[in-house]
Amino acid sequence: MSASTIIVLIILAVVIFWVVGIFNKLVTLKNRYKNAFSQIEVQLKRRYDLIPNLVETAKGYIQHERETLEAVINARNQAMSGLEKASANPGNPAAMLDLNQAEGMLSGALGKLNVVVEAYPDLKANQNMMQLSEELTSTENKVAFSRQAFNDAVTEYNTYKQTFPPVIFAGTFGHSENASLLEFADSEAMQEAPKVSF
Amino acid sequence: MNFFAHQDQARSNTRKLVFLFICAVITLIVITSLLVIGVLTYIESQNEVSINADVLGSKIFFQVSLVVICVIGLGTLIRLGQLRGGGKVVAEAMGGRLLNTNTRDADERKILNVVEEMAIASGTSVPPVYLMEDESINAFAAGYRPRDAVIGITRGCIRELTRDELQGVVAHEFSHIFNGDMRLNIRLMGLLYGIMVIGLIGYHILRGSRYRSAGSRSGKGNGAGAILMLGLGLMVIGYSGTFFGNLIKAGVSRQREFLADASAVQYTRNPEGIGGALKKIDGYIYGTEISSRDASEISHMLFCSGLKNSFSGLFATHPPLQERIKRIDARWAGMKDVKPQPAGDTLSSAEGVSHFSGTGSQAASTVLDSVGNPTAAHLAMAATTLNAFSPALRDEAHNTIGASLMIYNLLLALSDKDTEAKQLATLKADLAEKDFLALQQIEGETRDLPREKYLALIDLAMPSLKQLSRVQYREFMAVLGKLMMADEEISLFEWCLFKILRYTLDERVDRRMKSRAITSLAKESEVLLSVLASAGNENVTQAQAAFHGAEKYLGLTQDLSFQAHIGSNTGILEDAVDRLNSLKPLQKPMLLKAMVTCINTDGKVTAEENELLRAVGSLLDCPIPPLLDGQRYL
Repeated sequence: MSASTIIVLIILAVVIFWVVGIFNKLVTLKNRYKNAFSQIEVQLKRRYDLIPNLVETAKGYIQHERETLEAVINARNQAMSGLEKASANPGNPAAMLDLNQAEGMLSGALGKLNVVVEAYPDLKANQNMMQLSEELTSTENKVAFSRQAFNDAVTEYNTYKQTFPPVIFAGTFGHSENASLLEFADSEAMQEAPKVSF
Repeated sequence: MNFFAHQDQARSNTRKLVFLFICAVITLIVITSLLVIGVLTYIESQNEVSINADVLGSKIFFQVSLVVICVIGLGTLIRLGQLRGGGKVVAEAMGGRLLNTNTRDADERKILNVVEEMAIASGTSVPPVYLMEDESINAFAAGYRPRDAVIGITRGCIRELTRDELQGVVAHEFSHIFNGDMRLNIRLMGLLYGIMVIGLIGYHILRGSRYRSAGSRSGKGNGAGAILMLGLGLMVIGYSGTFFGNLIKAGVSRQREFLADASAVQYTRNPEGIGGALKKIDGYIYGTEISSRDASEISHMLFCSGLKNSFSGLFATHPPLQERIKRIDARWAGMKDVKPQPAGDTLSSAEGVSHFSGTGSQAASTVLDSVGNPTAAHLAMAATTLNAFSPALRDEAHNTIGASLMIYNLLLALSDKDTEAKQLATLKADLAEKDFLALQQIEGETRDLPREKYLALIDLAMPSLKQLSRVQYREFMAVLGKLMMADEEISLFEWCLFKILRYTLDERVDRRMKSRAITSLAKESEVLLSVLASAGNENVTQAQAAFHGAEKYLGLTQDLSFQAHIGSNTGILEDAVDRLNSLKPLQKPMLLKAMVTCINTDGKVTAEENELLRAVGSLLDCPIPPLLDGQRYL
């Protein structure tokens, strides 16, 4: 074994360890954003659980606004199946897009419901209704916050994956696709850009 | 043996480990050299080429040593580098899923509650819990210190075990955290990686192909076969490394399992907890096997052996299950007749008595004995404390935004009217509108909370706060800073809160500070004790008395003088405590003893005294259990 062989062997070993390190880091960052997604999932599930109660309470008061209520229930069911698909595959662009859209529709439907509720002061003052709305708002807060953490984790993964040298190996190690961010259309949050928005 | 003695023993085990590691490397070099010489000699004999054996021998030996050392060195250095991220690196590598503290799943809720109780009872922040989706029953604790510790648990565990049994397992894992095993184990994992890496890669490939081929039976037969051969080949080559790795693991960590079992019984006073768990595992159809491909890397850290074909006898990483059960059962039989428990439990007769009672030095000894040594009384109190928090408050502590808002509210609660107004203005400017509204809604909850409970609440909120992304964390700390400076000075509580939060949450890796003797930290100790004495005594004379009563426990030859002018100047305190962090481990008890004596001179504990003790304890990685019931703040 000549000196050059040894040097080659050592370099080979370095390269191998380095590559193994990249593999590990890709796996770690991917797991991180998956974990971050499950934080959102818990809150979203809570949100979806609250909605049927909300609709039931409202039904007693609003007999003539059936379409509004039905729209809410439908949107909620869509969102639930969207969530199921997304949690099976967090970061997958198609699943994230579906969830985004479903959530958008749900927010829209809930918004319309709120407008309607304003016109019925009895309903608005109902204890149950107040409690449910309150909890819904608080849950939405938590969703927004966890969503930001998820997006931060996804960005970290994507950035690492695209830099050199991981970019060479990402495909072979099964990290070919970029993970998708989760962008709900909370228009309020968007408008508050200058402030710190969680 | 108390916390400090255990930690010391763990440290000497680490030295033993390094020694064995070096022996293993040398042996590997010799074996590999002989192998290479053997192969070359064989080739020689086949080709009838003669080479001078002597010259060749030493040259080969040198070259082989170089390669082997490089491979091992690189592997070890890289792994140790990766592991600097702390316990969560291990949990993520094993494919664990972080349990959401907000979960509504009954099983998950159960384990989280058990872990919360255990953490609050011992005075550490609640560690994150990771779930491994295995049917088997197994668990681990990973990390270097309580601040980066995580608990890993299998699905089988939370599904099959009763709450008491879960508590036994969790107590066992916590004792690993407190006895210094956890740090020893993670270092073992890093150090041995270099020796075992070739075998581990082979094992990893083999495990991977087993699962893959199960799914796709047809086609790709040749490809799968080649990969299998590669995996097998690597395992064979790496076998001698694996052999030594396991030998070392067995030598260093096996006995610690007995100790952890015993500690679990001691903390919970319930041998049927951990005993029950062990017995269930004994008869359990799925056993304790972990399916993760990297399971063999953490085989020594698991509650029970995690590999299907684990070695027995000399190379076993865990003592035999039967033996472990027998040791607990025998104790159980003993305990029925004998009270208090034999050996090592000085708090047995002091159950229900606060560790601050009694006169100065007696109290100090009792406190030191309870460091890293929670008792059933502490556990019971933790359960009560947790139940006393309103569900709304617990819910807030369990989610990330709620926890941050809750912490802001704690600061608001302790401010006078003017400061509070300023702080609210800051919050209104810095938080999003909906978050500010949420803050005001939570305010009622925290305002009613008695101050003694603040520390437990902060501990409870930790896992949620650990979920803050890097950006969110920076923003959180920035807002906290502004709130603290609203009244132009930082109070002791604010300082303690900030230190505990930053120490536990900051992801930046700890720079290892040189261990210094207390004699070189005399000035800093003087500052700390002065602040403590002033915090607990309004009257300067009394403060002075407290100070002088305490300083002799530092074992310094020079006399310290009480610095009345410092008062509660947290700026000066900050510098002093930062330097005290580098105190030699064996001298930490002296500092803590001095602090407790100082607190107890007047027989009463103020809020600031307790918080300062707890903060310093956290920074020194010495978990100080909370005050037991019956002890109230002034």
